Amino acid sequence: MFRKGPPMRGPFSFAGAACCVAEFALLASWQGVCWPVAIMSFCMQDELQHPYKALAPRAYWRPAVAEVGAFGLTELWTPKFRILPKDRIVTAGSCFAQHIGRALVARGYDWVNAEPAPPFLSAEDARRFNYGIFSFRTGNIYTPRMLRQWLELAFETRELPDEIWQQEGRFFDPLRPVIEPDGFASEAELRAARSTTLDAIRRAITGADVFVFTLGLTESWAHAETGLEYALCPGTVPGCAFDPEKHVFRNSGFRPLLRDMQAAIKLMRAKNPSLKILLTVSPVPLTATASAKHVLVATTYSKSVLRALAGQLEAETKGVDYFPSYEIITHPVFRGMFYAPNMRSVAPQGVACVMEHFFADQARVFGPVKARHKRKGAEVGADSEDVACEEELLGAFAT
Amino acid sequence: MPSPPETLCIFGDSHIGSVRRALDAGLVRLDGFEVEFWGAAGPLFRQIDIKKGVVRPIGKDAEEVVLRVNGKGRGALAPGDFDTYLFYGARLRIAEFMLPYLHHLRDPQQAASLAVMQAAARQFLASCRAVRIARSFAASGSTRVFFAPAPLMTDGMAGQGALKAPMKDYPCATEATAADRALIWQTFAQILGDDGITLISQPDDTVVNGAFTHADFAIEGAQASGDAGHKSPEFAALMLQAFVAASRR
Repeated sequence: MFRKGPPMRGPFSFAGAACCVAEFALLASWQGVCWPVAIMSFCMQDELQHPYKALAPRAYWRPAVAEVGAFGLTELWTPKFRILPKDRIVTAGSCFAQHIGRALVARGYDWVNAEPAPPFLSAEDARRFNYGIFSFRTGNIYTPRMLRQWLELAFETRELPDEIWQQEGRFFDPLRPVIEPDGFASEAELRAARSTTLDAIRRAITGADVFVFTLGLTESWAHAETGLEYALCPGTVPGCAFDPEKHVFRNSGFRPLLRDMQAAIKLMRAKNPSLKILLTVSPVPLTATASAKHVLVATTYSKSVLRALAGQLEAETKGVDYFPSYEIITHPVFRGMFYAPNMRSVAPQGVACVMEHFFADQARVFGPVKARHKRKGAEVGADSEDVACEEELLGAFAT
Repeated sequence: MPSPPETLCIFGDSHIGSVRRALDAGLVRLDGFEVEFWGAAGPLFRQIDIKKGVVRPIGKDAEEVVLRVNGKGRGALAPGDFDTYLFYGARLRIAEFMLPYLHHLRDPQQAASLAVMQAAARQFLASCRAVRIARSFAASGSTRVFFAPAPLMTDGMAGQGALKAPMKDYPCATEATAADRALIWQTFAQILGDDGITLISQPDDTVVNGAFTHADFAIEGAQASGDAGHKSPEFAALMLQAFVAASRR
């Protein structure tokens, strides 16, 4: 059991080192000292040989975090693969993926907009109709199951229940009920719009180099009989009244989420074997929980499971990486400074900080990226009708 | 005793040239209207603006052309100056909108909802200065306002003229039906109608290949000049007939 006195000295062995660590954790605990501090003190003794001795400074809390503070953090991410401005990058997922897409565009990266807004829509209207927010017009994809459903529909690998919501003569897509603010004018219009989005998904996934997906929620609502998962809880949005007999709550655990993500990745890789996948976890807390827990506690559960899921996939799946934007926004080191006063929305400074780490760590591991020069737009000049106009009018009113 | 003629101002850009020619040639009669023209050609049309409800040319060049077009010394336009205004052409190039949205209506992989099209049409209209002028005049309540947008591009000359939406991007527009076109015209008519403006849409029997004006209505020498935008006096006569019919409703 616990033994007072100097630590054991002896030849290096992993088992021994592990024992020492455990022993010092106990010692620290007993002495009221934070055990990682104790490990640090222990490990930095010159004469010791153990796995912690040769680690980079980033592996130690004191030099990597405590001494540098929130804005001195470096090497938070050691990317598995390089992402270049010329790579076609597709973004999807929860709200935070929007920020990543925009930041990539701002840096001249080739963010794929597979379903651009039709012409003449104002920027405000385009956003209102959910164009240009993600690479395709799915709206937020909060859960792995929703991602899987969209992919199964797009690649026609599984028949999904054919459910359409209708209210007051307007039609709503249960997979994205707020994509059109007032719903669709007809079922045919809804189906045509969905078909357009499915085509955009196919083109985006098959042509992409990198797929960035932000995991958002573990909580969801589904049809009790068909199992179709909805984007949002029926009744909270127009189109469908909530029916406790028909609509069931799910708070998925690790294993079903892992199965869904694995299935989604398999589907995408079947169409695009070289597709690289970058996972992030949304740092945006739940708006509300149906889990009967406090929303703060439910948020921690949800994000913890998703974070573990991302870690598992990153660890065991080739070409899948995890970028720690979640940690940058949520970790106590940052003292919540990147949250808006509602403690939910992420402030632009937070997004900027996240993306600085993203680009810095890419550059650290793979070297700097050459600035991408945007093609200069064609000069706007008098068009040929302008030239013809003069002649036409002056000719008619010459007398 | 006959009622006095209604004063009509045909206000526009270079397209009003074909209207003048149609009237001069007697292709159409505007019985009951006393007509004046007012406007300028494309680049100078942009130098016409509205301030405090009155439309004036800005700069000497525009002023000179406006006076020449008007021929009656009218250097400015206020809503109450005429009983009726017909905005003709006036840089509202409906073809630029029609082509992509007819394509969206026909291509199952690029569908756009009616609500999206309505929002886009509102923005398209809002970006046109002549529409803003027409709205201001209509809002005054002292005049009737009609708007005939610039016609669809002449068939067989796609890619020429001022068409900003290239055909290669919107190939399905050529498959558009009369119903598709009517949907778009109705969208514009409704938006303008809400502002008290009556839309004069292009007669559908002048349209061929989904989104183009029949080559019979091309302006003289169009093939040689590459002018796909302007039309013949015969076309203008049809538009005036449509205006007359609308004005009598």
